[in-house]
Amino acid sequence: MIQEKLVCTTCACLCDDIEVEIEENRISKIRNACRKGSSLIYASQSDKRHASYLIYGQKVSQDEAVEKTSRLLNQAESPLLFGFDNSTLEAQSTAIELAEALGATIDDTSSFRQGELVQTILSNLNPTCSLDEAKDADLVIYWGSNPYHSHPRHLSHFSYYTHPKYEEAGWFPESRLISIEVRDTETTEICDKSFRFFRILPGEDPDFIASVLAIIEGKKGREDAGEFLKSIKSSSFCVIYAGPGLDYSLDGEYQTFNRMVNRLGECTRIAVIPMIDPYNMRGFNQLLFDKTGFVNRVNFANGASHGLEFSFLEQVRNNVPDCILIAGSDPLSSLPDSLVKNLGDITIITLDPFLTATTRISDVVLGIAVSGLETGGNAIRMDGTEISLNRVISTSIPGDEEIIRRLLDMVKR
Amino acid sequence: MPGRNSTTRGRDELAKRERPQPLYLFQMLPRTNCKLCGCKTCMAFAFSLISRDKKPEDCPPLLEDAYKPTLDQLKEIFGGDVEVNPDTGLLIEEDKCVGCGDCVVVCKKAITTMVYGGMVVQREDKPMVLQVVDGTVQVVNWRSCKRAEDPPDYCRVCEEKCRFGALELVK
Repeated sequence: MIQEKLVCTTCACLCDDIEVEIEENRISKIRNACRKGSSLIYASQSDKRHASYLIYGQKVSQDEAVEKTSRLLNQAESPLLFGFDNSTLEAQSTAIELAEALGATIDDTSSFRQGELVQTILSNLNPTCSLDEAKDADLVIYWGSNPYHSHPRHLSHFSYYTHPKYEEAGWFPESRLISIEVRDTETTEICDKSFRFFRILPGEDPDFIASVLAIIEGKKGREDAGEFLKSIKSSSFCVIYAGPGLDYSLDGEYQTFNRMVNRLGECTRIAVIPMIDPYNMRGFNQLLFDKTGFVNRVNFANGASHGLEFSFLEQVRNNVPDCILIAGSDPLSSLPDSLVKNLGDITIITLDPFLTATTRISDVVLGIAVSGLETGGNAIRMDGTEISLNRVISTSIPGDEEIIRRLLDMVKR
Repeated sequence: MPGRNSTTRGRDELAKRERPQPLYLFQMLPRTNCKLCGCKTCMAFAFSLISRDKKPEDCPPLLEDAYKPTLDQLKEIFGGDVEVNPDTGLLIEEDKCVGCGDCVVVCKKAITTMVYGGMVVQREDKPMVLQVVDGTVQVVNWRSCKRAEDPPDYCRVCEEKCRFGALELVK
């Protein structure tokens, strides 16, 4: 039996204290990983796992599948590359190169949610900090996010319980927690006891933010916004963990939110960290931002152009792409029926370690290794910190980087 | 149901996690103190149900047709095979645990600190009592638990901090 440490790649927390026991190249025990993390690790060694190469549902060799994929991509007039949020930085970088070589459109799941927030952070419009620095925050705010469901170890490993002054024996936690939510959740239960829970109606976030701004400017505003402002002013370091609830409510319009954060920054130290779900969405956003100045929705047909029309949803809605390469994402499970119908006319190529709804309708399926487990690399955590992933299980299945690199070489030829 | 929407659903789900109190269980029982279950009173049987020493079926009057709805309700509350850690009296319902590790962190804080003269003071370091193994929490070192000390300290911090009702101290 061998004991190894690994980084969990289930969510963007990238917990790096996971210990596994390995017997005969199979993981037999996992310590410290939450239920989501353990499920992914055990699922990766399930007998039912799909890790083969299929063309129109027929098993083929790896070479045949890669060749067919490169041919389809080359023949496509308007190819679209989508996903890569569950790929390593190396694979993402190669994918961006592939998009450039093909003159294709490239997009990821951040175009559905939180892309705009990451864009504001990367553009220095919002202050941020690392999760290690955030441990010192004496006011933690979860806005539109219930970490117990999305990132189960967030409170115990990174935020509320990790505050140096948090003393359980004293029953007077120094670290305070605020949740801005539309419903009662496990997170709001803590707020009831220790500090505040601001219940707002779905879609009411812009009104709440406007109220906070109004009160800062000496005008009248909502009572709860006044309480919220008072709490922030009384703290010395406040971290806002912005979740998808805030994003959906603002509909990507972060101007007033940025203004509020910057005005609050005049009263106290403040930082915003996005509660990202896919483990390396931030990495994809960072790489594309460094190259083009935009985090998603980029088209390389004539240089790098950006716009809403290049988002995966708009592309599919308007039947623009004739071939889509999807990596590590399952859009079919979340898209509305009206858009799924459009996918029927498009050639779909999928790179995925597991069998998903999208692989079932794909023309070509390329089974890949699970990154952080069967293949190493690097990834960027939700706070922008780069983390190295170890390979703990040896497998003959290639990683996504290897497949995309082969595709890139073939396309360049 | 009028008014039932995504906002009220959260509260309903959280309410289900509240634990039954002995008096609440006592009121559900026949309250005849017949002693057929082996307990001296129905109140004692209610406590035995909570500590999982008895099962609802151990009460013969509950098996009668008149008490069938009560028996079903009790079976729903105490259903499922769960194992109580004999040393700490900790019952872990693995189905409910999400492996968030809150109990692990607060327990570690609780066993290494104490309140003395209104001040929090550090105690010697001890191996942690709880650990998340295969996605759910497990007792890995019960000797570190405050309940295993002499005299025992009936600490309940792990149970109090579990947001999913997965931990219950039944003794």
